[in-house]
Amino acid sequence: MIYLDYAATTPLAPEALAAMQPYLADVFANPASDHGPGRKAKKAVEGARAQVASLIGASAEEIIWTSGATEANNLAIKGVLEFRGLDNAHIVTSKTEHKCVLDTCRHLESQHGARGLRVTYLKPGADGCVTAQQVIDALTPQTVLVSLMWVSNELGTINEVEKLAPLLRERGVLFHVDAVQAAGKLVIDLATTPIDLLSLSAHKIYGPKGIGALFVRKRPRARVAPQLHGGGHEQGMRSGTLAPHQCVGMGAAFALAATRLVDDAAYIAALRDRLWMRLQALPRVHRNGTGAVAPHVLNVSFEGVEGEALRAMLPTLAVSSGSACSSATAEPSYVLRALGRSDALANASLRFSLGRATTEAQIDTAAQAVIDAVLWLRDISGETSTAAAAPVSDNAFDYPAPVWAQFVEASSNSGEFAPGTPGVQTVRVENRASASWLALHLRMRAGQVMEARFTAFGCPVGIAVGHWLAVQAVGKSAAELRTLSTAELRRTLEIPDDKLHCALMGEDALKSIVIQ
Amino acid sequence: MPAYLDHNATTPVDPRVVEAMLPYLTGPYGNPSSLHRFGRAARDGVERARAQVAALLGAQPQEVVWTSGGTEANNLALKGLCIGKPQGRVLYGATEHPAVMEAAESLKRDGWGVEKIVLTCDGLIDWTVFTDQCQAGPVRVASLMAANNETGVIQDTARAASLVHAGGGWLHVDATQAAGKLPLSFTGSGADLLTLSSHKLYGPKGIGALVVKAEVDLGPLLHGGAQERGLRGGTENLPAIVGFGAAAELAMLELEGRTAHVLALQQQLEVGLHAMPAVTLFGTQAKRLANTTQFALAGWDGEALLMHLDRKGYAVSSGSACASGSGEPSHVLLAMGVDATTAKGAVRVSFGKGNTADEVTGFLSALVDFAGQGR
Repeated sequence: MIYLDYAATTPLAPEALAAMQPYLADVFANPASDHGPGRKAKKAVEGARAQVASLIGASAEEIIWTSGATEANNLAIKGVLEFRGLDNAHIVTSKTEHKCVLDTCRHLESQHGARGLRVTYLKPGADGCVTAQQVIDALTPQTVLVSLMWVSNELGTINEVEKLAPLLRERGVLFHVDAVQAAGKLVIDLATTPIDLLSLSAHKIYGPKGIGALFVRKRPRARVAPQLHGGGHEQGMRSGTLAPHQCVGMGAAFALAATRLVDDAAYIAALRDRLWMRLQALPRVHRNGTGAVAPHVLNVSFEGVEGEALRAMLPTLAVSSGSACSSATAEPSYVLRALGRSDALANASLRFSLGRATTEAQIDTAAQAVIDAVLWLRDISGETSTAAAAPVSDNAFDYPAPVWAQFVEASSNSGEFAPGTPGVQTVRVENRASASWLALHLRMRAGQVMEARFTAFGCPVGIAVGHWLAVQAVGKSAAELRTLSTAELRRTLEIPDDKLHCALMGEDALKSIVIQ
Repeated sequence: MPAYLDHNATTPVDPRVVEAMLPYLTGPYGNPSSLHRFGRAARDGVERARAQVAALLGAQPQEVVWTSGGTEANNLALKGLCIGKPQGRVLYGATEHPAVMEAAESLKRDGWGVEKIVLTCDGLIDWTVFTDQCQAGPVRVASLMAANNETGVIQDTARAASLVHAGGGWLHVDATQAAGKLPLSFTGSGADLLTLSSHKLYGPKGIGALVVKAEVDLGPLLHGGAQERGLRGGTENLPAIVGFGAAAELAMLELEGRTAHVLALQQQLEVGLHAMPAVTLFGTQAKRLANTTQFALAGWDGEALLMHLDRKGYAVSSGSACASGSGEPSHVLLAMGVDATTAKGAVRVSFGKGNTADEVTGFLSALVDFAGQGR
């Protein structure tokens, strides 16, 4: 397994784990307790706070611990709006923000839209970046907050936050930056960049999960209303018992990032460029996000393949088809759609994100696996006939065994007959909702199928249906084929309910066969 | 090695829990929301732990929503039930944890009627008053703790539930201190929503849960991502979740042994305290947790006594760690009708499974010394 999903989460650095272990053992007290063990825990928490501050050019008292970046983003946006007043307030953000920023903004709109609260969602340019000028142009006298990510988690593109920060400061508009993908990858110096609030996560830079922080500037003071009440921890901005093992883990990870940033960035960017160079051996591939980019992300769309089938063929690669937080919903990436990619192309995209442990050999293996998979799928759809070998792969996504067996064999009878082959009847059906299609190519003689082939564009189930029908068709008459029911097809291949449309396509194809 | 007698503030992580967490700290585990194999291995760990935590209460795994801890769970329960809904009444016990009190009070700003539930001098619900309160108008939610963090007093939440439900409201039970110390059943507690915290039962800090019945119309507090049925966005804190699961399982298996152990220490302590002339014990007329004793030593300010005990190597508390250092008398004791001077003298001892009889003996003799010195 090759892990190329460092933008989703990173392994814990050994240095961070070592820092954490004493706090899972002897040093366990509640840092809010006013006794010896409690004070010892508090001291560790404060040391870690200084380490986090140091990486971004802030001071320790400007760091507010949270349970992660989602909470930090929620606290920043809702906290500012509640503190400043929700009536007629205006927020500027972008369509390519992390889901938690977008969800928070939509929640505020739905709750307080009647009170005049409005949000402007900027669309990035074709290069994937939001410019400072775009933001300035969107400001109104009511704008209280701009929330923009420094680096896009899906594209790796860098927004013009450094250019934008002083412009917003001049205009008295608060500036919140989601720096989850920027911290540890780019130099961040808040001493010279007038950002008011900045969100950080530990587990994206080799620290533990379950901890993050919000930078809240002291001078000039940014104010946020607390979102978690009780006990008044964290200067009243965020209550709840602190977890010292997680704080020190984040501190150690940030201290490590400070020493490694320059070398890591150079190493990882070189591997990322190597990966892109290799993938360009394929025709019709597109890089998403061509502007200024952070070192660790490469997002590529592959024409002529279906996304789910592509992922199914890459069981040895841990890559993402968008943000992990939205991949569970299996919708095409809203970020890629915002860039103007079609649903089909957005769906057939992979985000590779690289990290410290990535090697050249892994990159070369990964690139070859992707190339083989794309070529094979393009053969299945009849787009090419490179006779690419079926990449033998394991059923990592747990398709029903009969489906998987048909799928891996599919290239044995895919493709069309040579033009001019006598007696060929082709039936083609499509399913608009899933943008997939299936074609059966039947060489008939005296009403009987002598030979059958298929072409298909779709998920592994759709391809399995095509292959199975082509095998079944041989020796049968058109009339016999038309009686084959969806139910039988579903039973034989054990097609699950959510893939019913694939079985229906199969039946529709059979029903379309003309009895001659 | 100082004697740690402050287990209601937090507990050490059980070494077996750390053992369970380590593979998830060091191994190739991904983001549980990722579809690839690393992600799914992580998801399996999360779901196993969910079943373990549910089992502690006899609840259904799908009723468990992970949070960053008890504070977030309490905030989620109260605000998640109220924000964006037509304003109504919110009731909470006068001795609740600040996370419940302040979350409830924050709803006033949105036009909610927020009322305290009056308690008797034993820290128990005054049923006559509470019945009237529940009947005075529709209730959206009432929040009560199963066991108090300072006094250890155990509340009859099941009885409260019938009154709250009759008033059309949901009952939220903060079981942060009760879980792992009492046999606890989600349905038996009468709760519709119930708060749990991992670090009070020998699990890691930074993780908790809100157990919620399916029919409760709860909204999210943290927006972003579809995690936790849309009720709580954010990447799951995988090692902590696994640790919480392991801790919950151990708590269930070892409940009897742990209870018997701390009960013996509590009895030893309280026999010693009763023998001292200047000591007042709180909440003794009610059923209490077997590990918790709160008392005051006449003539001593709690903070000062704490400092002296700390120097002698005894870590105890004057009340909630979340309110420590404020210098204010315990709101819990004030709500029980204790006068401010006595309340300011309060000290809480909370035992854990690692404490010994020798530690209690030493602690008592230190107290006798101080009592002799006077203030």
